[in-house]
Amino acid sequence: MTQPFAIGGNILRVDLTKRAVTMEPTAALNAGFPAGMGVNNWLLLQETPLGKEPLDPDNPLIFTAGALVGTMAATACRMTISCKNVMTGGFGAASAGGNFAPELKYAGFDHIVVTGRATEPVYLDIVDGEVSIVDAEGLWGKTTWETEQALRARLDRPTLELLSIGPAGENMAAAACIIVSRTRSASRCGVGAAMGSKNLKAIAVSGSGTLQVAEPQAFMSESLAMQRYLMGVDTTKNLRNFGTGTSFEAWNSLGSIPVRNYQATQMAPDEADNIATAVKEKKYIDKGFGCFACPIMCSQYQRVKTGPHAGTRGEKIESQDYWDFAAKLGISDPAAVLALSGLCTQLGLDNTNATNPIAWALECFQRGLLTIEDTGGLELNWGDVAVVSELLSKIARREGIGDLLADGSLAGAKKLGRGSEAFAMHMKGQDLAEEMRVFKGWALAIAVAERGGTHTQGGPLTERMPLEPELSLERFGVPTAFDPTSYEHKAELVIYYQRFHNLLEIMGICFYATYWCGMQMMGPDETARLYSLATGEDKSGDELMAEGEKILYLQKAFKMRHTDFDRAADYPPERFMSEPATGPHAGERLERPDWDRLLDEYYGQRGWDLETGKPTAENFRAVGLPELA
Amino acid sequence: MGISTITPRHQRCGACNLCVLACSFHHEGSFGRRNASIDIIKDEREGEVEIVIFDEARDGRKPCDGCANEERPLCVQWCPVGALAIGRS
Repeated sequence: MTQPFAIGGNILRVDLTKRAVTMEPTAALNAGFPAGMGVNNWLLLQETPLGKEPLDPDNPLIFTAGALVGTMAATACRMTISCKNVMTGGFGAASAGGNFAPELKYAGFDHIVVTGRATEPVYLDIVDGEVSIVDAEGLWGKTTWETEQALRARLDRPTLELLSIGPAGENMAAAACIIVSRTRSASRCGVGAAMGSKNLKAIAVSGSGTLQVAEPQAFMSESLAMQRYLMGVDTTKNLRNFGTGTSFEAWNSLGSIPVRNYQATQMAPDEADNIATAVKEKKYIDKGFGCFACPIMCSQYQRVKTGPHAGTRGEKIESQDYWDFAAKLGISDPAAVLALSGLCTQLGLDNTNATNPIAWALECFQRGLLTIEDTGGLELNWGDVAVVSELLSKIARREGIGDLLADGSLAGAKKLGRGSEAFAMHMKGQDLAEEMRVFKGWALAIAVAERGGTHTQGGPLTERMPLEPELSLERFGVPTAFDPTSYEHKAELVIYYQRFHNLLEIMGICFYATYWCGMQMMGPDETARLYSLATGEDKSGDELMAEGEKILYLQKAFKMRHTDFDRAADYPPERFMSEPATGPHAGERLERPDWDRLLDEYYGQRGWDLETGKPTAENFRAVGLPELA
Repeated sequence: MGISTITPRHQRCGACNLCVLACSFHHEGSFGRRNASIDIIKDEREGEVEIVIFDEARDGRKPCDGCANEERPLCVQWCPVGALAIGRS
């Protein structure tokens, strides 16, 4: 791929140890690799030294804007942040929306590669081509919201976009995320800890440039037609009215949420109704906001006016917040979920990687494996909002029991022992957000995800769509995309979505505008038309899907270089194999012989080695990466 | 056909900035924020937005010309929530 149009133009390199700033053109790398996440993943693979711990200062932390970001392509606003995964030691990446990535491109940059460690806390200040490493005295120790407020007061410019870490990142908790544009979170893989390990508190960017596209009028017409089409789709209307929180009720009615650390898969009707009713009746929702260039506007600004959480306000409450706080921890008061999610944002905590270890601790306490002596006097009971709030603060600051939880449930279980590892729900060391027993393609994607335990690298949502097999055949070439519990052809379905998700990360387009959320939304062909008109490089949907496949091999190569993960690491937690689901799919679990066969099919579809689950040299050559063979 | 004047409806605005990009395209045929005649100022804390339309050139911004060459101003065409309305002078 080459991309002469719609790019910022440069890679910014910042060595914080040497306090050195250099720049180089993006074009040289774009010629050989997919743009956006493709170049990002290539840089990560090539420049991460072997044999270093994830938080070693020599490792790069790479910020990237997608290929179409900054243009009018609907929802093209997203950034990818990659690093050596703090939780798994393998490939790590997180994604966020907001306004930072387009501003970075207007400043003339597609990527920022940060290495080294500043002797004192600093922030980066980017004003077009002028880049300063600035003393962050007075910001260290502040929450992300305090940091944003302080920097806005300090840097008075016509446009200014920010990202920062909170106390969690400063203290290098693996559960730390990076907060972008105040309310958007780049979560998973400990990217916030990686930023903290560099003594980098924040990045500010202001850009006065503009982006050219190859065929301006045609691109505008196509983009406007796509926007208007999306606006008429029911999925869009639902997201705009209620946010993704609207899907919580559906997930629970299907019996596929992680209740009380995955001890059950469906919440009690009265508890779930508290949340579903608050969402449907818009009890706290003021209005929907969009990320940059997004007409969908799923980010609901919410405000709690009465009760114990009065004064809570903020944006971007997702369905996953209800999994994390309501299902996993037993907190059925939706106002409390809003408050706790806001606390995580301020502390710079990844909701999932913070709540999952708490859920583990609650179950250990329930079973007598953790005692009040271990917790510093805290009674760890399900649904106790005050205790969860205190635990979140302790994790962010690594205080007392918080230090045990800060690096994830597996790391905590290894320290605690006492048989507690059986209740650490993770994949490859990274905590889970998702229940896996019911939907089999969903489970496969999460189990094999290169970054460890995520549904956003291939997780099909089709299995919860009640659609006809004919449509499944037409779209995916298999008859079972809409069949929740079947194992048949799910390997092909997951491979399709792995490629598609990577394609979208190349572009910087939000998953919520696409086939991922609804069969009426944007697919590979629609994305390819926008890409071709913007860049002048004529690509079909199939060709872009092939670029998505190539990226997966970059991630695979990283994992093979830095870890010994093999087939055994692609098996789900034992609980999902031995304890059945509850609810409408009661009895469903992941039987080992079925899983054996599913993995064989998944590896076999790509011609990977069945014993190890790894690609062969020929596989790397076939996707256009002979240098990695 | 007179020159369009744009009336902002701040409360409807979802701060997506598509109007800003459309305006930038109108002026220079490319996409940016700082050459547009519109700025979206979002108060993240309060969940409120102010739409600022520049009638005069300022800090590199061009003044709003009502998209005289277009059937309807581009910002109005592109706003997905009806936060920009047309008045005619």
